[in-house]
Amino acid sequence: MSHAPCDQRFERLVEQYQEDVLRTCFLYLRDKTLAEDATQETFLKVYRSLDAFRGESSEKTWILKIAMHACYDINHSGWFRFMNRHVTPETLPEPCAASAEEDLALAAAVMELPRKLREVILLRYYQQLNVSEIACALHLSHSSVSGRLRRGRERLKKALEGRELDE
Amino acid sequence: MNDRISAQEFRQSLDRALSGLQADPGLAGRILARERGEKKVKKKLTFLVLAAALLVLTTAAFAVSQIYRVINWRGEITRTAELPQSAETLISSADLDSLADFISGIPDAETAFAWYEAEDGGIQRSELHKTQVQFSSMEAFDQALSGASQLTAPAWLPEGEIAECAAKICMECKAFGQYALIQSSLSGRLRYNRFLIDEASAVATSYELTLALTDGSLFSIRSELRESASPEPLMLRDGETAKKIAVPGMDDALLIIAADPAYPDGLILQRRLPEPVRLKQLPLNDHLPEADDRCYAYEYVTVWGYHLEEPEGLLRLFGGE
Repeated sequence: MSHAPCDQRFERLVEQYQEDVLRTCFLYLRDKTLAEDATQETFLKVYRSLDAFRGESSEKTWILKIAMHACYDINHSGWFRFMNRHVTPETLPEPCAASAEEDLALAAAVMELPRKLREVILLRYYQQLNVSEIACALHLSHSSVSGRLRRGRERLKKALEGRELDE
Repeated sequence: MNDRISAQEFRQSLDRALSGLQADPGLAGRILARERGEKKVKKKLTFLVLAAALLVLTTAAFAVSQIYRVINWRGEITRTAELPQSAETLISSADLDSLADFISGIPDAETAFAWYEAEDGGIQRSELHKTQVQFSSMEAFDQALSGASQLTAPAWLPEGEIAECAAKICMECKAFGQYALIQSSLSGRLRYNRFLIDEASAVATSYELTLALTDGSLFSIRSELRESASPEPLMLRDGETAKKIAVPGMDDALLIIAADPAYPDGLILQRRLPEPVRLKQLPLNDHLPEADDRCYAYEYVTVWGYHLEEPEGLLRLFGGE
């Protein structure tokens, strides 16, 4: 089939990044079902724009940028407005691996951050993008990203009773 | 415990916490199949899609494959729309009864969303119960509404003895508060969230009033705030006619006259509010509000009168002639 090389590349991207995208979307949207929707939407867009990807950023940054847009669209839907999204460690999906109390507390603290701070913290510390890549993914200036990262770290430090993220 | 968290530790910690979220091995295959046109990808519905489906469902009850005429505020037909009853979007009557029972049992002080999940994971039907205050007398209703100038109360009541009055004022506040969660659960296929908003921080955004008179006539009045104007106020049933009229204080007004006495006559009103209404943030929030920027700029009122001697009688309710 003529699409085979493209399909193989797409399958590799799904295999390589799906779990990352799903978990990032969950941390962003705070709802498992919506995170699955956003993940599916992300990879549909990835497939459709595979030919247009010119390598101006890494594959990972490109996919996360699409995922952030998918989350943003859901975040602004009428449905999302009425979802109860108060997060406690008990509301997280049952972990498969052994996780300590502080793991759950950290996840809950990240999910309780305001959206603008949450997304930069996730991209910087969970996805380990640098400030330039985050600025590219979110269409922000370097200074905006740095400012939000600083405020996000401060919030997390307060929520985590003194534990703080490395800069 | 280490007081500093590196990016690596952050990542590992969250991965452990979220280890219950696993990749779906069939995702790539489903997307490829869909893009090759082999089959549709299961897609869960967002609320916006759901709202459209709900419109079909509710109108389908009395509109099996009918052609509706969509009109503008001048009463002119702008387009026609067919709203066929679709078997695949309907859920069982037992499920609908269960949904109605659940919503009717929600206490007034709570806000609740309830919805059904279809076999394929899609959302088929949802209901919203807003925090509300109920009234059984016009005096109490009028008094409560006197503090909410964004909602227009009837200026005049129909002549005759009121046999029954049922009214409620519904309230909303910003959707991103840390509302007190009552319950978020699953009952069969019914999923629901129930939570409390602070009534003192809430804004009245709609009311419903039903008046039954001893002569058999019945009036149903509903006012709601909307974010934008509605250019197409209504769909007409077969035989119905619409007439543009003038009602004091309203920018647009239409009188709907039914051809069949079994159906009600109507009055549809719209006005731009002098001051937009913004929702409040709950005081119990300890962080910055997120982007719930709903701003209501219009009031939209529908009045339906059953078994009326003259449809023009509806006009007097809001000071028209």
